[in-house]
Amino acid sequence: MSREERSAWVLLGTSIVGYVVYAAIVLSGVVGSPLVEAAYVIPMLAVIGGAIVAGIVVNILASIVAGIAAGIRHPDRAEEAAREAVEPRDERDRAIGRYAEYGGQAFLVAGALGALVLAFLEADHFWIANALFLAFTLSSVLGSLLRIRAYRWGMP
Amino acid sequence: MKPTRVTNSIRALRFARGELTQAELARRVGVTRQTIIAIEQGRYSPSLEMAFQIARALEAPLDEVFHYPDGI
Repeated sequence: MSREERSAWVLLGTSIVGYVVYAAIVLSGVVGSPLVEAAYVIPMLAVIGGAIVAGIVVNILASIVAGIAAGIRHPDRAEEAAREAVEPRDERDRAIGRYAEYGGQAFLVAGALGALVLAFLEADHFWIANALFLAFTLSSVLGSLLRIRAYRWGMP
Repeated sequence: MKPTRVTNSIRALRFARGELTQAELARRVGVTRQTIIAIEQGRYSPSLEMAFQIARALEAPLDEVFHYPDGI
């Protein structure tokens, strides 16, 4: 598995886990009271920050583990594996990045439009912020899935 | 699913050039080994520029390395 594909898996995992943790924190804090009264700002900021840090840490750990595993499997190619671990992105990586980003942006646009409509309707800040946060998460999940698909099976 | 109709003879040409490894070909072209693997397996169509670089690295004309089926 290439470094770029591994990072797509990490982003997919941290996005999903982050959103589940956020939803669990918010929902557990409003038992018996309206959802809009939930304290969502701190959990949202904490989850966004935590997901960024976790993504960096897991990426580093995954690279180390993958490097060790490659060294054990093919001791004669350890030097090659070490070089591959720090290789810059090439033409294919950039093309896949553009393809995935373009696909993921569909959710960002949908989320922005949803938030705009909610603002027109003078919905509570809770719903506007959560519509945007959900859009960021879905965009990240779809973008990661498209990247993984492109690395595994090619771009359509 | 084959995302491209472009086929290639990179694998055969690598072996014909003294068992040139994918890693060595990748180094000569300046891409990752994963990209060479993806091209060989038909999962990625390289840019024209990279196609020329691969052909040059394999010391073969472009149409000996890459092929496109007749018809549209």
